[in-house]
Amino acid sequence: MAVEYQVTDDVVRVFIRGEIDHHRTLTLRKEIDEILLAHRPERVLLDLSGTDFCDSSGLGLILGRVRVAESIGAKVELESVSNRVRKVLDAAGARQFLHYA
Amino acid sequence: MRPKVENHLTITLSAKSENESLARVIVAGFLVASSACAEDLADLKTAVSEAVTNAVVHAYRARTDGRIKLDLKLYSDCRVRIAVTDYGAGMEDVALCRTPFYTTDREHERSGMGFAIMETFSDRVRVTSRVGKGTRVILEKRLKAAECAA
Repeated sequence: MAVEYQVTDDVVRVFIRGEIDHHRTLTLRKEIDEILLAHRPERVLLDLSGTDFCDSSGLGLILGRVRVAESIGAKVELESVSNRVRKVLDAAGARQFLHYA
Repeated sequence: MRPKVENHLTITLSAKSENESLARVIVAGFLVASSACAEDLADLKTAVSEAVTNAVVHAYRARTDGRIKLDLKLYSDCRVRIAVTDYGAGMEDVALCRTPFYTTDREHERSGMGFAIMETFSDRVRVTSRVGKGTRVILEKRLKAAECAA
């Protein structure tokens, strides 16, 4: 499943839909990195409106994209995060590492 | 009086990443049948996803024939017990592996927070492991009694 994304000026918005688990991160990681490296935006928005499940593998995916984005000078923010996903990210102690739009 | 088992499900899955979502569906189905509330169901789905993923990623690294057994029980006191068992590599130091942020697979962006999430979303997590024999993770949670079918 190809990841949908939008490019507006220096902002790339990536829509991550469906459950974010270890199995899906195997392909999501590569697809999102290809988008970031092709467009080299200043700002990356990870839109999570289409997902209500994320476990620690999903957190690893998000943190990995933050690292890749920072390596090309971009800032990553999470957008439209459900209460459920936010609960998991908070339980993993990730609040200090993530920015919410 | 000792609580009795009201319902019991045992199933064995291939240790493939595709089956992580299947494991969640199985757990959700069992919990729906147990009249678990949405929050308890979501919490246990997440905890089981962590345990199954650990088995897929760590227990059978180079093998394709690994198995993961799920054993789910609902007790008359509304407690759910879910055991996730693999027959793979095992852990030499369980306490170290349960340390937040610890992972042996940083290359693949493992966050090392699987056990922390299991502990947050369960009342109790027990782990037993033997090197070369496998690992069993037991998650227990008391369902909110008003909805529990037990």
